Amino acid sequence: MTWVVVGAFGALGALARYGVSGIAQLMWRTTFPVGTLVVNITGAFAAGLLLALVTGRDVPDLLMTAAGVGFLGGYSTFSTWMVESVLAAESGGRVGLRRAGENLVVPLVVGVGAVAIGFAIGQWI
Amino acid sequence: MTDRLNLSTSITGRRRFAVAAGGALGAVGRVLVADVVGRTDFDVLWATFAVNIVGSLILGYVVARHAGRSRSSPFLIPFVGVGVLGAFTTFSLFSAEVFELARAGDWFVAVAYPLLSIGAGFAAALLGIRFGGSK
Repeated sequence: MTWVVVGAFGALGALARYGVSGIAQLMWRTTFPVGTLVVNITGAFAAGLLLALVTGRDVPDLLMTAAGVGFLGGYSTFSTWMVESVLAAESGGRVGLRRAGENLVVPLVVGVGAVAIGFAIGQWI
Repeated sequence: MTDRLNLSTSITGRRRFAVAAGGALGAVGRVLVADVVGRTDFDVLWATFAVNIVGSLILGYVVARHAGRSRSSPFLIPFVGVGVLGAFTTFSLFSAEVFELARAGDWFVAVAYPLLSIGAGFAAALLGIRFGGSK
């Protein structure tokens, strides 16, 4: 049962990422991989929110498996973030390296911040 | 049933299907790795670390390989890249782990874990791209 739930919600998460990152990349016409950033930040925020909501509550394991492990795990991505950073570095010279540095640091800092904000809101709810 | 199938005969629809199918496989693969690591003495952080680094390596390879081939399938990147590897690796769990480490006051690991993940992930993606790009 767990595997079916993980697979189904992982599929939904991946589809949502495909849609959201495509739309975000179209909205901001920039060389910065903003699509992946938007997906990962919203995914991190939702993870913080979920974490706070399940802490100290009697929530069925299957809900966490579906929403957290399946959907959010499938929605957010680490590999695309890394490959886009390498491609930015290889786009050339100092500008490329600066872009790669930004693309590594910004999502990390904003991502952990988004978890904290989601968690705070979740506790407040 | 045939009507429903017809909905996905457009190339966009088939791409979406490839993303979803790949996403299911990737998510299941990630949980399998977590399951295996959970049976050992290793901390579960290593499961996240492992999927993220391995996923970055393979994605780098696939992207570079695809870019170098004119007759590569239009579904390769949606299926393997966006679907399987996108769902196999995870940012939400990674960032939530860093937050939890910091909240628990485990500052050394809270700093070392993301730095190691990003360093190794970048190196792995670079390696994958180099391998995939060489003819």
